[in-house]
Amino acid sequence: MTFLPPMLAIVHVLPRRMHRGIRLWVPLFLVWLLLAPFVLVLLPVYFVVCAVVDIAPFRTLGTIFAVLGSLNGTHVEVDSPAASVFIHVY
Amino acid sequence: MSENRRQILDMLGQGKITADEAERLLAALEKEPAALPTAPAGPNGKIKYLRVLVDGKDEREGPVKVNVRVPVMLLRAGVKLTSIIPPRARTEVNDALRKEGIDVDIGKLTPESLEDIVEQLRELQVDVDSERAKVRVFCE
Repeated sequence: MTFLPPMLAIVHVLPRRMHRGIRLWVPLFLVWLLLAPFVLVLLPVYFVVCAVVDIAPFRTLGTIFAVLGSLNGTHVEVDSPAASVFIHVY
Repeated sequence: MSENRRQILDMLGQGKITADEAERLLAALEKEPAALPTAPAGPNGKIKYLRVLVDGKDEREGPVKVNVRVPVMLLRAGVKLTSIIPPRARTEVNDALRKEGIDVDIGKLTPESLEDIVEQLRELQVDVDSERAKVRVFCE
């Protein structure tokens, strides 16, 4: 099981009424980099909350990373007369 | 004669389904080999994805196609979430499950039992063929 979170997501939303829809390449690695300082700042709060609600902080972190890491390869494609939506997570 | 075909004929003989329904089921069964690709497993024989395919028809809007591929690893990671549930909440969840007739202790879900569950998914194949939509759920 990989603990590496997804690095890229491709999101296409093409409403039929519009000529041009939304075509996004979301560099998730930048999102993780931007979130990292906030995570570091909030880490003490996280440990306090874990102690209060009686959950294992490190195991919880591992599980969160496992869930994020397992998102790789997720693919959603919806094609209807109203719109076309495409999401792929790398 | 295949087991499915025999079951359909049995149901027809017992009056559980009409002749029309039996005909539709048999026709669907005949189409099955071409319409349903076998679920290829990963290189090491493990299933990697849960696939959901919907080919529907909306009465107002027209044809709708849905193609979803969910990594099985997400299921594994999801089940691991049960291990971080606080003990008090775990008891409440177990009690609620027991009330529903499911006697499972979610705290005792081991990696081995999880692998067993995932392994059983290999055989999972759901096919719904109605006038409004065709739905297929399988693992690959």
